[in-house]
Amino acid sequence: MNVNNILDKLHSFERKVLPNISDGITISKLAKKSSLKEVETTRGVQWLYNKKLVNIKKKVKELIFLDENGRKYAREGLPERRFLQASSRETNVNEIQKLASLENDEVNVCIGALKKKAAVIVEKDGGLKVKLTEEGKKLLEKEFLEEQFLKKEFPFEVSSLDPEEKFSFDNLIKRKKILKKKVKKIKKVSLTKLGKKVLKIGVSEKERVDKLTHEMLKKGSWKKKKFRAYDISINVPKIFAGKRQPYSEFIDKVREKVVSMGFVEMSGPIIELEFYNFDALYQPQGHPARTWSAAYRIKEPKTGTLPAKKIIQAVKSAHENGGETNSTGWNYEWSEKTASQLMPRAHDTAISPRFLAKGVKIPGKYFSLVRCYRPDVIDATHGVEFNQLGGFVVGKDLSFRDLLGILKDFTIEMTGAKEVKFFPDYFPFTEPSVQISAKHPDFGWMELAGAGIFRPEMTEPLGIKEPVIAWGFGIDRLAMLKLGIEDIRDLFSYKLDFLRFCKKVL
Amino acid sequence: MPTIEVSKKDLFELIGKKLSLKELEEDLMLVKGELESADNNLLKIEIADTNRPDLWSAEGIAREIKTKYGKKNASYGKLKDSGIIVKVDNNLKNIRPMTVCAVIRDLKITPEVLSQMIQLQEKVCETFGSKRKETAIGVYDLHKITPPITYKAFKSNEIKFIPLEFREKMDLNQILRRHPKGKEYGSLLDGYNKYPIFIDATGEVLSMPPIINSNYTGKIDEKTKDVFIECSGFTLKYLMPALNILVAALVDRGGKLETVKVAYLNKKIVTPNLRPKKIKVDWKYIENRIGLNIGKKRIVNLLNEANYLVVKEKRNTLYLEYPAYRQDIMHAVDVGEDVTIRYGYNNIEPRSPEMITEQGIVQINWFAKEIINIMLGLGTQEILSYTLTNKETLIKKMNLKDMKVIEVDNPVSKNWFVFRTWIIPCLMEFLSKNTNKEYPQEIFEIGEVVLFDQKTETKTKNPTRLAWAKADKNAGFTEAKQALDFLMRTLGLDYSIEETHHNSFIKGRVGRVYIKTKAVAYIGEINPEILENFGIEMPVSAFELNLTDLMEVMR
Repeated sequence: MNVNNILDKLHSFERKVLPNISDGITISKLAKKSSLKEVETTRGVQWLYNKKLVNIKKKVKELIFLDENGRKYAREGLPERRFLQASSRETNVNEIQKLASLENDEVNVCIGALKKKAAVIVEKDGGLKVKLTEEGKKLLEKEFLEEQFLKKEFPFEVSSLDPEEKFSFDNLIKRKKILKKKVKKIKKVSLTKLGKKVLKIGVSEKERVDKLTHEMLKKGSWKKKKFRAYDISINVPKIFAGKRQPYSEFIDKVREKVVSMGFVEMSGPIIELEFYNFDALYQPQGHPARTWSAAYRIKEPKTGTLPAKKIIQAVKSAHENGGETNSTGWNYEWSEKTASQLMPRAHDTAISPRFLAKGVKIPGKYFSLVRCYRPDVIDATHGVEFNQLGGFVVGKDLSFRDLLGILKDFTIEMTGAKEVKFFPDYFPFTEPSVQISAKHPDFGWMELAGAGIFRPEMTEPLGIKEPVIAWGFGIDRLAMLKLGIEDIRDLFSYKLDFLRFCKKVL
Repeated sequence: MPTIEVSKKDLFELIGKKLSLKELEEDLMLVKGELESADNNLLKIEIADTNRPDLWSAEGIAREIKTKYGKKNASYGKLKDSGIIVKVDNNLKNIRPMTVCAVIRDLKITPEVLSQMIQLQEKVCETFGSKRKETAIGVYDLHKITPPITYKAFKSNEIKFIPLEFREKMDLNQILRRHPKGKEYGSLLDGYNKYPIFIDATGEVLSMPPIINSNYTGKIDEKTKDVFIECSGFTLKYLMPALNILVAALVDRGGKLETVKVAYLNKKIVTPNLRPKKIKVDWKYIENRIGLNIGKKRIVNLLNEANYLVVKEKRNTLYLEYPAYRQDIMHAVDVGEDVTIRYGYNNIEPRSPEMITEQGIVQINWFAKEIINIMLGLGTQEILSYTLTNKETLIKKMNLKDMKVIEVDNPVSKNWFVFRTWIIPCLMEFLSKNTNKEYPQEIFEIGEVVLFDQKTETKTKNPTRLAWAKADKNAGFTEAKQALDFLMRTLGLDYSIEETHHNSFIKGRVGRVYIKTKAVAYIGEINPEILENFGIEMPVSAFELNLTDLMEVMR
C-alpha cells in the first residue's frame, strides 16, 4: 500500500500515538505521552499494527509490589529493628514487647529474624529471655539488608535483583503481607520501517475528518475537510433483519411450482371425518391403518355430520358388496357411526374425496399441501405432525401410461432429477399402484412419490366416472435434503441462531 | 409392510433357477417386493402389498417368479378326504365361534420349511389377522391326535395342559397370566369366563386359541411327517384365505393335502376349498387402463404368467380362473394391475397428456404470503411451529383458566397432544428457548389454529392467524402497536383498539383490535408472571391477528 494511502486511513488515535513511539515504549508510557486514555492508545496501536506501521513485542513480567505490611514497614521501620533496640535495654521478652510496642504475632517473627542474623541468643530462664550478641550490638548501628530493600522504588522486576537483594526478597516474601508478586503482560511498541516512513511525511498537519455530519452539510464546512479513509475490510457487527423461515419458504415455493404446472389448490379441515379420511377412499373399517395405534382420535367432539345420504349409501354399498361398481366389495357390514367419527387428518388424500364429491372440472388437476397427523414415535425421521403434498388428475381416457408421464414430469420438475424408475406398490385406494424413485444429481436414488389410479369403488360412489390419477409426494424428505437438515424436527427449528444464520435455498 | 426373511438357496430351489441378486431385485417387482438386505444366504425382503398375505413366504414369492422362467406351479386339484371330523360346540358362539381345518401328509420338514411355516403363520396372524383377532393358526402333529376333535369353550378350572415351551400343567387362567403369549394376546379373551379349546377324543388338549398350543401335540419339528392345521376366528372371510395360504405353501413343499369335515350345530363344511376362483374381465378395458394397445394375445400370455387361466372367451370378455389362495381380487382393475406388473412398469413409455386446466392457490395461502412480505419489511424473523402443543404451554404458563381445547385421545407424547387455539404461546416457547441469544428478538408466525365450531360438519374450524412478538429491553405496547399499525396501514385498513382484560397481558396494557365492529386481534404487553413462567428476562409485547377474518372484512 502506498504511504499516502495509509496516511489517509489513519484514525485520530493513530495520529496521536504515532509520533510518540520510541523504541520499546510501553502502552502506559505511550498513553501519557500522547495524552490519550490507555484503551484509546491500545486501539490506536492495534490499528497501526494491522497497517504494519508498528511492531508489538509482548513480554511477560514478574513484578514485585509492596503489600499492606510492606508499606507500613517502609514508613515505620521493621519490627525487628525496634525489638533489637529494645533488647539492648531489656532481656525479658514480655518487657521488650511492651517497650517496642509489638503485636503478639510480630514477636516470634522478630526473634526468628534476629536469630537468623545471629543477633540474639534465646534463653529459657524463668520466662523467655533474649541476650544480645556481639553481632547484635554491631547491628544496632548498621542497616539491615531488608531495610535497604524496602527503600527501593516499587514495583520492579524479580529478574533485576542482585544477589543481596535476592536474599532480602527471599526472606521478606515468606513473611505476612510484606511483598507480593504479580505477573503482568507488557506490550512494547516500536516503529517499523514503514511506520518511520509515514512519520517522516508527518501525520499531525494532515487533519482528517472521521464522520460526515449534519452540521458540516448545513454549514458547508465539509468542503474544506479531508475525510479519513476507512479500512473497509474490517468486520462489522451483524444485523438480524426480516427473514423467512426456510421450511416455510420451501413450502411456498413448492406450492407456486405446482400451481405453475396447471394445478388448483384444495384445502380441508384439520379435524376430519373418518368418512373422508378412510371410508370415501375405500379403506375398509377394519383396516390396520384405522386402528388406535395407527391414527389419532380426539376426545371431543366425537362425531361430525356426514354428507348427503346418496353418497353415504353409495360408499356403504361399495364397501359391503361393491354396489354398482362391478366389484365384490370388502364383504363386511359398514358402519355409518364409525364413518362419522372425527380425527386429525392422517394424510392429505383425505381432501380429494371432498372435492370429487363436490364436483370437479374435467379435465382438471388438483393438489393440496397440508399438515397431517399420525401417532408415530418421534425421532430424527418421524414426527407426529408433518406436511404432505398430493392431489389428483382427472380426465377422460386417462391411463396408467399417462400417470407415469405426469408423475415423471412432476418429479423432474420438483427435484431436477435426470432419471426416474417405477416400482409396483400398494395403496388400498389405487390400482394399479406405483412408486417412483428418482436419481437426484446430488443425492442419488431416492423414493419420492407414490401414485395410482383411484379404484372405481372409490370414485364411482362419489359420482366420478372418469379415471382419476392420484399422487402423493414426500415433501419433508425433499425439504430436508434441500435445506441440509438431518433431523426432521429441525424443519420446525426453535433455534434462533439457526434461523438467523441459515442460508436461503434458491 | 411385512418384511420377511428367506434363505437364498431355498428360494432359488423353489423358483427352480439360480439368479443374481440384480436379477432377483428386478424379479421382486413381480411381488411388490424390495430386497432390503442380502447377508450371505439370508435375504430380507419387504413386501409392499399388505393385502396379499399369499406373498409373505419364500413359497409365495417363488410361485410368482418361476412362471417368468416358464416353470409351472403345483396344481391343488381334487383333494382326498382325511376322514377327520372337527365338532364345533355352540357354546363358542360369542367367544370365537369359527374354525376351518386341513390335514397334510408326507411332509419333509427341513429347517427351511419349518422356519418359513412359522414365519408365514406369524405374519398372516399378525398383519392379515389383526394381531390374531381375526385369525389364529395352529399346526399339530397328526400322530399325537386321536380324532374326532372337538372345538369347545371350557372354564379355567375344567382343563389343564402344558403350554408350548413350558414344563408344568397349568389351568387356563394361569396360562393367561403367566405364559408370555397369554400376556400378549390375553386381552382378546377379556370379559369371558370360558375359553376356546381344541381337544381330541382322548381328552388330549391341542391348543387354547388364539393364545397357545399344547407342548405335546402342538410342537412341530423335523421328525414330524403329517400335520393337522386349524384356523380359528369369527368369519370365513379371514379364515378361508388364511388356511388356503398356509396349505398352498406346504403343498408347494411336496405335502399331500386332505380335507377335514367341520361340523357346526346346523351345518357341515368341508375345508379347505382350493377350487380356483373366477372373475371375468374385458381385455379392451385392461388395454385402456394401461394405455397401450398390446393386443389380446399378449394380455392372455401375461395373465398366464400371473397364474390366471382363461377358461372361456366371449367377444372381448375373458372368463378367468385364479388360485384360491388369492383373496385380494375384487374388480377387473386388480387383474389389470397384475397384467401391468407383468408387462413391466418400466417398459411402458410414459406419456404426458396434454390438458388445459385452470390453476390457482387457496385464497388464504395467497393472502398469508402477502402478509409475510409486509412482516419481513418490518425486519421480523419468521418462525414455524407445530399446531400440536401441550396444555402446560398453551394454558397454564399463559395464566389462563382451564379452557376447552381439542385434545388427542391416543397421544404418543406428552409434549404434543392438544391443538393450539392461539399462536402466541408458541412464540413464547420459542423466545424461552433463545434467552441466551442476541436481543432484540422480533419474530412472527402465520399458521392455523383449531377451534370448536358447532356450525361446521367437523364441529371445528381452522382460522389462519398471524402472531407477532418482540422481546427486548425496550419492547412495550408502543412497539406492538407500531408494528400492527404498519401492517394495517399497508393493507389500507382503518382499525380501532379498545381496552380489554386478558390474563396473559399486563392490566391496562392490552387491547382488542376492531375493524368496524369485527374484533380481529389482541394486542398488548405480556404479563411478567408469564415471562417468569417461560424464564424470559426481557419485556415482551405481542399481537395475534385473525387473517381469515381480516380477508373476509377486506372483500
